Amino acid sequence: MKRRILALVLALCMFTSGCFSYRDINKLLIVVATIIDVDAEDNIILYLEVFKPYRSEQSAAGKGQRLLYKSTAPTLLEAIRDLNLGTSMKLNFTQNKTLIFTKRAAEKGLDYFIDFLNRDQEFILRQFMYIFEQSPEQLLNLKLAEEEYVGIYLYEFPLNQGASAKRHVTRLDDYLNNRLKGEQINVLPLLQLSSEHMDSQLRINGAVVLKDDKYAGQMTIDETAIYNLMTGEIRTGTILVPLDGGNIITLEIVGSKLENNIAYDGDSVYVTKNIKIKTTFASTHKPLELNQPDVRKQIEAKAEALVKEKCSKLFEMWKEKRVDAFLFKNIFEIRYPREKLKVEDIIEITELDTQVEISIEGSSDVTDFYE
Amino acid sequence: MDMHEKTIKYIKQQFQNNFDIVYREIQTDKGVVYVIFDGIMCDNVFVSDFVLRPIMECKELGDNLDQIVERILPAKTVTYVDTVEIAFVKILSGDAVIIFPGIQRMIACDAKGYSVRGIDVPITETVLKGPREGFTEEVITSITQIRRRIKTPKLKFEPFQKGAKSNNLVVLSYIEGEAPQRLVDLVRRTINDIEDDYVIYSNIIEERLKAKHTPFDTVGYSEKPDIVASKLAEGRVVIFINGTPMVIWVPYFFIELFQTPDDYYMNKYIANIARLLRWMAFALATLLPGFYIALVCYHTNLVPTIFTFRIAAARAGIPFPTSVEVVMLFLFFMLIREGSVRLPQPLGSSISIVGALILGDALVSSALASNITLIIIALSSICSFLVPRTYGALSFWNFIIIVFSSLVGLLGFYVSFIMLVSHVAGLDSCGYPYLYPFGTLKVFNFKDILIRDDLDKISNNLFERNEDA
Repeated sequence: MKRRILALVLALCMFTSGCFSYRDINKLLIVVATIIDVDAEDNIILYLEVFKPYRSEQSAAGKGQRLLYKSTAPTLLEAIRDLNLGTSMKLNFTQNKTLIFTKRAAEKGLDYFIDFLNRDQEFILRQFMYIFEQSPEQLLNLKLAEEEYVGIYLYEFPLNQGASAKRHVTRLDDYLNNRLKGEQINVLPLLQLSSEHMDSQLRINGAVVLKDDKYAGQMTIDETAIYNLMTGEIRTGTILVPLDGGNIITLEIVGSKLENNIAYDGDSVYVTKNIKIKTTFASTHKPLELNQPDVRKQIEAKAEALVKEKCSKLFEMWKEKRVDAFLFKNIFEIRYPREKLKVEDIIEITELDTQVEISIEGSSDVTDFYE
Repeated sequence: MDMHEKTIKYIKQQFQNNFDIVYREIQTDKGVVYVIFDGIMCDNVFVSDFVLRPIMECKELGDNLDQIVERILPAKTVTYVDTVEIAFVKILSGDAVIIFPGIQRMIACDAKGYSVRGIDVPITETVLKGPREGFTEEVITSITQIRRRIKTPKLKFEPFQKGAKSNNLVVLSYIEGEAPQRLVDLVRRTINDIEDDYVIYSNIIEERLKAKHTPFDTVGYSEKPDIVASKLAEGRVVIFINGTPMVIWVPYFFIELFQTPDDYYMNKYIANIARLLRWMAFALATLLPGFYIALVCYHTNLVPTIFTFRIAAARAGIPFPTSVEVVMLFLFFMLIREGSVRLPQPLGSSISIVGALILGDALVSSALASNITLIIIALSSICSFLVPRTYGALSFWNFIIIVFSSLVGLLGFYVSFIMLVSHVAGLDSCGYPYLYPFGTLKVFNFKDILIRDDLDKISNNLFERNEDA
């Protein structure tokens, strides 16, 4: 009997202690956004947006309170420990789904922080990652019209399908995978504050490309859309086609397919990207004879030329910067697993041929007008 | 004093201080004939017209008992009684016992005439469609209800007088050729082995037949003749006990917890939805509180963010840990349930008002419990009402799962769930696996477990297939 009791006590001690011991949910400070910055001395500045449950004496129902914390320390864990010194309850990161790095932190290199984010048991892998250009205080003090918490707002951002063409979404698990492949390229969405868009003050305004966990350059919002097309990550979006006479028509992307072909002759790498885009006719500023096959063919040809030109420009931009933003190295390693390149940057010897094929399927209202 | 006088004296001695026993002495050519009967239990008109009057009007009684019965007694059921002990049982069962002078054997005439509860709608087993009648406490009436449904000489009713002092009638019933012989023998042996002085309710036999150390019922019971008739047709062995409308049968399987008469009377699609709901309700009722504790106290990362906020805010200011809160609410619900079951029906509504007000509102507003925990426990309790026969077992296992989940989170939840499954899988009902037909894939056509197929496709006799295997 004594042995059994002893075994039970030991089992309880073993199971009911440690990081994941019993903890009531209302006794936690639930972190919803983590912002990581660095100072001039390379110290980590950690900002947290926290949900704290509380119930006042007057109120019969419990409420949530938004708290903001800041801490500076040489390492991330130290910064978190430091914050716990000033809180009545333990900070809990199991609901943290938004990881924001300042541009300064990205320039310093995310490898500085990523090990802890990967290693610590409390951080989950499905956190969305962002780069923010301005001051973290500005971001945290922002009063969002749609949502009280910046962290939740940014967690729900990727769910907005309408914006998917122009933003590039990366989660921590994707990031950790990508940094082990090819030239260790990662693309994170770039957040900016804007006063031009009334209530929509926090916006995704392009993307930042990281190479070896360090900032390597950034793209505008339109370039990000083209980038997404070239990497096959687009789901919806629009293509604006200017026509003669000042008319602009809008084609809505309903689907796209990308096929990569790669060839290596020992000196150069030849990449062919076949992009097939299905669109539907969304709008025109002036009347158009859409029943005429010639008109449709003309629109398709113009759109194809437009997309092709933008693809080339974007490729040239990254080639100049010697950053393999299009992940050619990944494709190359899959196609030629035993070949070693003579150059360090694959993009230096890469020649890109982009083939764009756009088809207009019809409008959403009238589906049988075509043919 | 001759033998005749001694017997009368002995009977009178034994029935001393019993006002209901009536002794009639009738002078005949052979001497005094004694008619002894229970004046309350017997039909007095019947006794007067068909027992007393013929003897009184008889001029020549004779010495042969068979001739007396043939010539004088027009009573419908007449049996010979050889011992005084049997005579006691007969008198107390509502028979009129006649003692003739100079004849050692006695005669008992069935003259039962006591009032019994009429056939009524059973309140514990209501149906939307299908027969409404239920058994009564009178075993004879119950047997006729079965006979009316199954008219075959193969349907057997074996009587047993059980209880050294109660001498209550226990009837073993089965259909010869349908019920496995070893099952019939086992139940017969079990009934014969009963040596209690008083056998007045079904649980005395039930406890001898059911699996030990488990809160799950491994003996079935019902007060509806249509259910019992169908169980007999499936090859089960049924036991009637005089004095209770609950008829028990063995073996009883786990899947029967989820079957209701309406499953077979109603449109199968509607019935199947209801049955799936019962399976789901069983899972929710058993697992939900434990799963909630495991998620909320250990694995918050598995809870959606907005829901985490809601739970955390709802629990803010609650002085007890979640596990204590869950157990506390669980006990409150058990108290209310127990209270409402025991309370007389007119007062039943008052307990629901008190329960709803105390649990639903006051607990939350006084910050003794959170509304989300309340919803979890309420949902679990409502689900348990869908499978009412598992209530005791559910409460027991619910508590075990809550304790394990509180100690080790999801790990404890899984461990306790496996324990529950292994416990149920380890049970047997009179030698048949309780989880049958699970685990017998090859011999059962699975048409009546999670959902019911067409009635002509589901198995009629479960044992036949099983024993062939």
